[in-house]
Amino acid sequence: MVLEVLDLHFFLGARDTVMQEELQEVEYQPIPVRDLLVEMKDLSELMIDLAYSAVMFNDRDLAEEVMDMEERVDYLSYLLLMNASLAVRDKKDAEQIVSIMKTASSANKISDAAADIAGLVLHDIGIPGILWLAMSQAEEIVGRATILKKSMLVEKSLADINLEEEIGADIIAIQRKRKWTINPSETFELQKGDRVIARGSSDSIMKLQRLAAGELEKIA
Amino acid sequence: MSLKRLLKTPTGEQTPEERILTMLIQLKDTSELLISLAYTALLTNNKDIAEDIFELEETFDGFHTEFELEVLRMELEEGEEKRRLGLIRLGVAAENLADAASQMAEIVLRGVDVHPLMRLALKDADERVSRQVVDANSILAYKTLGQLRLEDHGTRIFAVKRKDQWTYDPRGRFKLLPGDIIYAGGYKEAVEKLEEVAQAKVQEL
Repeated sequence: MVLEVLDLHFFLGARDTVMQEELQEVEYQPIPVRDLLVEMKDLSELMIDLAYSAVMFNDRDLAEEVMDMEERVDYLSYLLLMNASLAVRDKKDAEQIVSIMKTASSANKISDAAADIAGLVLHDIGIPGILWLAMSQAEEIVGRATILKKSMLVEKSLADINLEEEIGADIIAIQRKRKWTINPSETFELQKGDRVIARGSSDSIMKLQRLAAGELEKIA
Repeated sequence: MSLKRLLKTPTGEQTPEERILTMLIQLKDTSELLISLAYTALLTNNKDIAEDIFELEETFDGFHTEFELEVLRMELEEGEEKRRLGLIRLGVAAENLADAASQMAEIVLRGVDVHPLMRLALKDADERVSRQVVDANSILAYKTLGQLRLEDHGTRIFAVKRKDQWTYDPRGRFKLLPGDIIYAGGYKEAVEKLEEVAQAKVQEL
């Protein structure tokens, strides 16, 4: 079956095919419902922002980031339903837990819509060039960078480097392994391999990317 | 024009591209506003906010149809046909976002007991959002946001509802009128102070 699908894509010309990561299997883990809900809410809100930016700047990297987050939100929603189910003991619990499940389902819906927006970039559909130009004249953009081992940012806390003051790049999210931290606190310490999403002028984003790649050794 | 009126069909001397762009930005802003209002409605278990969401979502639906018609009428360069589809899908995605917001507002309107955990989960440490009507005797009435300088007091008005008209992210020139419904965010103390000022219980910021 899978082969048939692959063949069909090949037949149609695989250029537009977006590499689909294998779905992560879900097994029950005891994680507080609250933590799961917070991550789902934060991710879904961030995704809207990133998805619209991806379309406006025709940015594939950003669009892929959104797809990644969408898979994460899906995964979290399974864990949330499992953990929330275990918390129900009586009628009152049942009534209250519905508010959580419904909210989680809305967050999931939000993340799906964001993924649809990002899909416009990944499937080369886009929006008319003339609008794209008008929208991309915004002063601020969203960009991403991966922190390499040789970068001076490794093992520095956000307070240490103070990127917002120094270069005008505001870090809005960091991914380490699969887990995302949205709006990281000042004490957050960067490590090699971290993927960072930041907002700022295109100059400041470029500077951040060079710092992350180890091409720039001083911040100021 | 720096005021961001929500869901107002552009009129006047705009080119079709400008009209679509304006509408697209409004769809985007409205969908984002709806979602932040939805979380606020849940967090505060506030039916007024939930009703505002339903109302705004309804206007949004009509506006979305107008946007789609405008996109269908748009003339495109050769080879850009696919882009028309892009705009249509962008509109549909914004509509789905608005639906997700209504789904959350519905929880509040149906009087479902909001789980105590939700408050812990949705609460931004010391950020608070509030919905207030501007009283005729409030010092806010007939002042522009530029005159009020709310930021200096640790709060910010992010949306204003005047009758059926919403303004998102109002700028300095925006003048508040009695009866305006303001949505403000900021530090708890600052927002509470603003509430009292809007209700004309206190006469200074």
